[in-house]
Amino acid sequence: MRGDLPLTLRVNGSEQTLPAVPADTKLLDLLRWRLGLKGTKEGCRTGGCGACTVLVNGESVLSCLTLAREMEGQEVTTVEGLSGTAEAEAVQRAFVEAGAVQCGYCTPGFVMALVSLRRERRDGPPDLPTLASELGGNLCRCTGYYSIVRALAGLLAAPIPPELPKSTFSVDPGRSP
Amino acid sequence: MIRTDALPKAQGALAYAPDVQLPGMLWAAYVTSPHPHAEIRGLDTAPAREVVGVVDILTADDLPALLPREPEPGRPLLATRATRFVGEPVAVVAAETLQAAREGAARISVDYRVLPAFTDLEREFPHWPTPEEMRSHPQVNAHVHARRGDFDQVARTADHVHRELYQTAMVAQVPLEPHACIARVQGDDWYVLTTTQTPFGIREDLADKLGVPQERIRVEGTWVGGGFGGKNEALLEPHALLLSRRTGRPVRLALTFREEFLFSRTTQPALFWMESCLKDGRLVARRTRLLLDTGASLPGRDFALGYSLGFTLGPYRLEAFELEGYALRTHRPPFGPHRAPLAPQCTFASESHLDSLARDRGEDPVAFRLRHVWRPGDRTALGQVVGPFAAEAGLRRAQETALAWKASAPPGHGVGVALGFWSTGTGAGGEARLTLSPQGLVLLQGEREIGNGSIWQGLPGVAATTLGIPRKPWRCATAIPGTLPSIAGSGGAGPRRRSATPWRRPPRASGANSPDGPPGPERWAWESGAGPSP
Repeated sequence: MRGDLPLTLRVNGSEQTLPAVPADTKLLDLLRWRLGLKGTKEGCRTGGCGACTVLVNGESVLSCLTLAREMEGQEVTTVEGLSGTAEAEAVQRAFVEAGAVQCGYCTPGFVMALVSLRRERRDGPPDLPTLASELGGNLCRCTGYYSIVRALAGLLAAPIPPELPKSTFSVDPGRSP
Repeated sequence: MIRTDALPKAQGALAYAPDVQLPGMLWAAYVTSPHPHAEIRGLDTAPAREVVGVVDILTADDLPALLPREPEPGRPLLATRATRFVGEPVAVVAAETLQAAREGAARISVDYRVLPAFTDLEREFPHWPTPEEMRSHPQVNAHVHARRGDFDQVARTADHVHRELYQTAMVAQVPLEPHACIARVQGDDWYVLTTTQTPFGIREDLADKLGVPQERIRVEGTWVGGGFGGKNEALLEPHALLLSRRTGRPVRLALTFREEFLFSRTTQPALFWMESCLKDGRLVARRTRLLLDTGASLPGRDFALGYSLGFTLGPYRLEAFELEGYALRTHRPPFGPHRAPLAPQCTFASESHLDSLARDRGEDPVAFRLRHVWRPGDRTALGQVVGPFAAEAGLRRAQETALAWKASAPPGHGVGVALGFWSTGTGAGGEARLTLSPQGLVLLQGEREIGNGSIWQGLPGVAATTLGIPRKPWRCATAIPGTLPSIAGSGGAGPRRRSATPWRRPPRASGANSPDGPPGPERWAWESGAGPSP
């Protein structure tokens, strides 16, 4: 098709060259349908749910809003590439142990977003409300989020909050309305 | 308890329906109605056929030749003369790529004449309608009326009658995994792989919709990325199967998120007129009148009305009650259950009304509930005798917790209490089979794990406990319909109770839910007629 160009990128540590990639192909579709990496889930396709989160050069990116051709020469990591590493396993175990995996469709996206957040340089470890607030771009329809908050508490070795985490999910955790 | 499916899900290692690809597969996309109600005067598919990669286009005109019998009137697989709601499928395009299918769908032009639409209960009923008005209303699909005692008589001698109107809005399930299926028809074998809470239900539904005998249909369920009541009906499967039959190739069909909001079955608005009678400070009678928007649903799909209206009485002692509900066909998307068919809405109306009643009396809302909540031995509206019931203990616990929260609540935060209950495992049957195989003990059952652990964790647990077998070497497998008798689908904890029923010892003679209890309502009427044509 006109406009198709070859694309070379690194995916999960290995270089991939694809002969013809249309200009409008999303990174999500490239990963899922051309490279067969189905751990990256397709949800809303409009940047609203976070299920398609991957890492580009180590930072979390919504693959449904990213054009594949922008990835020329970049390093893309999917949940398949991260699974088995200590940092992914810590997050995955925390989710499993907290009962935060139900239907599981959103979970790989949460794992990718959390790994990225934990890598970010900070003055100190983030507190629970900050981390929960920064995960606001990932939606879960099953859990009601409390078990996810429990998983975050487990990861941070923070005390599990009382049953109602009052301002955990407000946009600005520091201020009450 | 650690769930065995949790880690592979977190690793992205389990395949859901949208992840499956078959060799030679075609991709399909819908053309849907932009109007709630419109006449279709013409439909031109020629521009779509020029799109490179478009293989086949299905419209209502193709259906008579493909289906062995006329589809039920008013239940078209694709809109015929008129569209009935925004998002109703009008045509389906199959192509070599998804882009080509979408491009083809975009080029199909439909000539609509927009017709008046009924989409707003409040506008239709500025005043609460009388029973006489409702009986003759052309859009009424179903009507339910149940009572015990005489509410009006109690109201005449009551100290106070509290009257309120509650309304609830449309709510969609929106599982993060959109509906998706892949169909492959080869000769008499109609195979579909799909995301569903009810593989057996989908097969029955497909047999009805396509006129194909059930034994020729194979439905394979996948891992389900959230259902919440929205994956119980054959929506996309008929279209994918028909396109596969015509093209001889596997066909993949998935909803976009926009279609997920419109074409999947959503809970529609409802209006509740609540009346409660107080006598000597006690709640003695309640009447609920309900107008339920069931969208473009057809008679038979308005089960929520009869199923859930009783929840507006709450789990509270009442001397008299009256329930009156009407399901109205409108030009909104067809009705479907969202986390239990209308029960959350009924509970919202009931509990809000109770709070308002307590507030009116200046009484603590929890204390008010505690004075009225069922105790073991009370009887429900339907006449069942209440067995062990945790509501009283739950309320006392909630009272303590709420007081603690209230003490520490920052400015602007409020604390409230509501009491919900649900019936489960009622009626529908189930079967599971236990096989000793070289892989160990295999539990074969007919439902899909929807994420709450009911199947994968719960069923082996029940079987192991009941039969006294260690649960470690178990594997759980899902039967393809046909290998087990019909089984109702996965909703809440229902599957565990249903499929586990054969193993359960006979109930102890405690009288819990005994059929010998006092009679239920004195009047119980259900009318579900043919309804108006769309």
